[in-house]
Amino acid sequence: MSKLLAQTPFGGLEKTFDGIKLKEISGFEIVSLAVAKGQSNAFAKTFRKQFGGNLPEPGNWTTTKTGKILWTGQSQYFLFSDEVDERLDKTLQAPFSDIAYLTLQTDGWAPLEISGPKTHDVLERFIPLDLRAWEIRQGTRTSAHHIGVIVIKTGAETYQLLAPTSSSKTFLEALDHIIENVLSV
Amino acid sequence: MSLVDETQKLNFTFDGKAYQGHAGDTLASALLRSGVKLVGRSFKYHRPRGFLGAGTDDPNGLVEIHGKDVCEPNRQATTIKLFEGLDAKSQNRSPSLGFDVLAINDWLSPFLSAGFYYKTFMWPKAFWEKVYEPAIRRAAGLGRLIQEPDPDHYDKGFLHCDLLIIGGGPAGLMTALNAGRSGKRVILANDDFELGGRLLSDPIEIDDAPALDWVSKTIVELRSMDHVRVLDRTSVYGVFDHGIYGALETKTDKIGAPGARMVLWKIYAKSSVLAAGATERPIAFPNNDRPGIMLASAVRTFQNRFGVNCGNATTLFFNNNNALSTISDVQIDVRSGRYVIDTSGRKALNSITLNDGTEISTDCLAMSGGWNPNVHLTCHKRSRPVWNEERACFLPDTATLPPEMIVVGAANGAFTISEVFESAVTASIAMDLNPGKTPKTQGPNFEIQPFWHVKSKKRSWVDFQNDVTSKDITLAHQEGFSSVEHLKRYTTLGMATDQGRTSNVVGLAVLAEATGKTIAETGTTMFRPPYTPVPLGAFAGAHKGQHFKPTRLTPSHRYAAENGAVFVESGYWKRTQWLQRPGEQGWRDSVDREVVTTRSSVGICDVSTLGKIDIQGQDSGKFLNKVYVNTFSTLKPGRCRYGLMLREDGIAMDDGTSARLSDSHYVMTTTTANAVSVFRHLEFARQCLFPDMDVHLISTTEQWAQYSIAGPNARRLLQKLVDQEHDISNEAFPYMACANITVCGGTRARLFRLSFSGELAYELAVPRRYGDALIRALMKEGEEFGACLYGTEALGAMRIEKGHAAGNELNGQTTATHLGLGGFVSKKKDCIGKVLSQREGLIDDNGLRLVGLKSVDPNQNLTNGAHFINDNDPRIAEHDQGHMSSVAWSPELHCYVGLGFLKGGDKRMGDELWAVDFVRDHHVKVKVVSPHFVDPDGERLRV
Repeated sequence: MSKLLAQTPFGGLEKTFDGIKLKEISGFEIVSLAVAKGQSNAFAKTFRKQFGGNLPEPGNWTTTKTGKILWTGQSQYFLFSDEVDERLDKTLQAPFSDIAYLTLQTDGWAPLEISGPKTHDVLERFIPLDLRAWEIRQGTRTSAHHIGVIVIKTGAETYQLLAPTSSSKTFLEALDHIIENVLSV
Repeated sequence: MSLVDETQKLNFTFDGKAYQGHAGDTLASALLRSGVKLVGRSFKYHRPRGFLGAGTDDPNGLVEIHGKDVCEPNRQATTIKLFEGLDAKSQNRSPSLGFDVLAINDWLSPFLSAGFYYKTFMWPKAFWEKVYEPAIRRAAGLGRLIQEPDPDHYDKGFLHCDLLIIGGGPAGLMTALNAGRSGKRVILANDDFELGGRLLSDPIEIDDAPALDWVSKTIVELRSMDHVRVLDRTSVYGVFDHGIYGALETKTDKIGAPGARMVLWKIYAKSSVLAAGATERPIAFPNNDRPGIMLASAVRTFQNRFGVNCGNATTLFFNNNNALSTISDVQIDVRSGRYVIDTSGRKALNSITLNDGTEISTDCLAMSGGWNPNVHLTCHKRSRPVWNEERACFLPDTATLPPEMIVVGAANGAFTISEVFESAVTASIAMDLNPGKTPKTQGPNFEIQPFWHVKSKKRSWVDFQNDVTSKDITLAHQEGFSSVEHLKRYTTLGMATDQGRTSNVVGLAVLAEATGKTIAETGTTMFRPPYTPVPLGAFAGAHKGQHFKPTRLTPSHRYAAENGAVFVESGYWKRTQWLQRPGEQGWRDSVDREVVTTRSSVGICDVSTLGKIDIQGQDSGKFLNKVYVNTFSTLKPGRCRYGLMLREDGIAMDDGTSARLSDSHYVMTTTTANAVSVFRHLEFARQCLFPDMDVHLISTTEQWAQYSIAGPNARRLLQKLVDQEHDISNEAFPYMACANITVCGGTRARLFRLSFSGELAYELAVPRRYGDALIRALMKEGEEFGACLYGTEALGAMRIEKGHAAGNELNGQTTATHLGLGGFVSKKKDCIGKVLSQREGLIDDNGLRLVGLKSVDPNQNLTNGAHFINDNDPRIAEHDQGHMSSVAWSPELHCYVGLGFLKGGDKRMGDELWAVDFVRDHHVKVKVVSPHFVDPDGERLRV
């Protein structure tokens, strides 16, 4: 039996418009870490030991030696690890045994990077948050075009947008439509 | 001082006739420059009308803008920025503006007073809706909708600021400058396409130079600040809770232009400054509605801003000294005791007659009855304006206005430029902004002597847009409609696109006089959003056509589409309904083939849409005991169990299986439809009901591509994909087993031995990245078994044959008892909904029970929704015995089978009764049977 080949949600998309660039980002895994009841201190300590860096405050992300970690909810974080391993949740679980519950989330999200000088002009018609005022450490769950998304600011005019994989086509169509509207004036 | 660019000519048409205007013109100014004074017909009497105002205040010049095969009605010509190729047409006239047969209404006016329709067209009653109202609406009205889809694009967006300044006149500009210089994030929303407000129209000097110099300098400085955003042509139409303001930005008036024609902004502002200016009001004197009779401020605007002379002989009729800057040949100051008592000229003003008998030839009468501050947006904050006797106008009530909104300039009754700047400075200080240097201005103080209307037997118009005269108002009072709110509804005063900007206060004054009260005692109506008209398309934004709502695609979508799939919407999902193969004549052919193939060999169905929730934590089992009616804490790792979940009120909420992958890890499956609501319910239970439990939830619906592989050959097919180290024999991996495995040489997977179809079946899940590859591998390896992909129709037919409840049965009205699952409810533990599920009416022995149904005559089909009636009972609701919830053709049994809820159904096996369907006029005699039509003992599941 031949091996199954993995596909990315946007098929390696890379598009350049006047002042806006869209690019699918790949080559990482997302693992959710849910902190076990009463284990916050142990979790923070183990996290520092395993990955270096501090845990982010709500609405923020920090950098670790394996990639970004984003606060995603009460006692929950998403680790964006540069290591590509579809078993990463299992691989990382041992030191967090009884401290945190790890779940692979990579396949649930279609990640896209949007950048360029007109990024904010597009995103202000797409996402309800005050992104212009954000700092390059902020990220959160929000909605875009009736789709629940994650938005992360990684540069002054660069964002990572994560849409549910099943909605990736409709998400991209909506984004394309808005870019077209913004650029046509 | 004209602001139009005469070097840039723009061609346009009005009622099919070609004209030329200039860049910087509105349609109104371009028409007036071309000598067109007659621009519309009035609402009811079809009287000839010209422009009264020059901006959003104008009630008369409503036109249609035409594009290819479509048009937009009810646009104010005074707010349309002229563009090359503009095709505008007048409205509410037949056959033409110059000759309108409905002008006969004007001759019939004695019969057409307020309330005429309600009093007259009363008999026969049935005629009102079908005959009278359509006819009246055709004769009296504004523009007409063409009832075609709007071809244009709209966007919606979100803006954020410290300070939203509403209005780009002197008060708004000054406050914006102070806020900008103080480092605030400012949005300045100006509904005009030029900044400056009245400074564009009035010959005012600021700092010893023309006011426009100050405007230009201010604009340059504002636009140079990164933290100040100027939104041109943006009208703030509403104020909502939590500091949210609705604003409509018009990018172009042109229909069919590329990109978004308008953008609807939701502005989140910490505070706002209302600098919306004021609207000049007319004076109600007999025949005051002829083309050529205009507000004095409009005459100045056309003259000074657009370089258009509104008449050869202009007469000024006024009651306040603000009007004196209007260039005129004759001045009639009501304060001298003289006033206009009549006018003449059918399609354009010829002359006016004064109370002293003087007749004056004039083709332009500029009138000014004072100013109405534009307080509308303060009312959206539930602040009710208060009457100011000295200024003769309603002012915002600062006592009830929330502190996050400050009103400045003419909107707060500052009617001279000095007062405007003073109010902007005062507001700036109040907001801790650097007030800067106050510009130097000169001018007399504002003085006014209220003068509302001229008593006469002739008609004096108060509301030009709705054809409401002062006589209508006194009539309303005579008939008992003396409250200002009743007056509005009875006469339509203040309704429609201009929202009574020019008419409201005059109307109130006339009413006050009729009732013998003061205007302060009479009060004013409340203004509600929208302040300016907003096209419905703008509210929809980009959410139309393919963008109306998001879609969710399954991992097998591409493969299914390549293989003849017909898709069905299930929430946002597009699921495969069936797959049509060559030679199949209709959907039944395809569905029957899919069922037969699955039951005889193997079929594959994408079940990724089912909700998947990973539940982890030491208390996961205890938690599931609380949310399911049956016990899960005793489930052994590596095993699955069917579970039924109740709402708090005891009604069945959802069902599905939960698998225990380890001591502290379960995977719950929900129905597709309830995936979100179940997750929300679980989160509520986790956070609010059982906060001490160590439980964590995360949706993995999107993470895993999951396929059901069902049929006698399911295991043989799977064995070709599952890596050899995993034994999936019946002994090693029995019914209701689950495990983490690998497939296709090491790909991570989850395997569950579950069946919805009633066959030997598995559900195989892989990370979604492999979803497309896996469906192709399954279909390729399944070729030797003749495997088929099946859709939701076949899935539905098989689950009905098997007697499994689904959405039609879990319809928010049924309990575990109704579903025949009463025995599932554990007596040893409590769970959400348990107590209320035991309410008397829900546990009646003769209550509804899920049963199977077959037609007595096997050739007859069953219909969903039919109601059961005993054989000899009348077919009326009182004898209703229950209803059919699901039906399907059973390829296995070669007849229709149905599931339904029947009173005492569990005790009525073998009974015959009628399934009565009055909707389809189809009544079938049915036999009550077990709901398990196929393999009632479940032997196929366990082989």
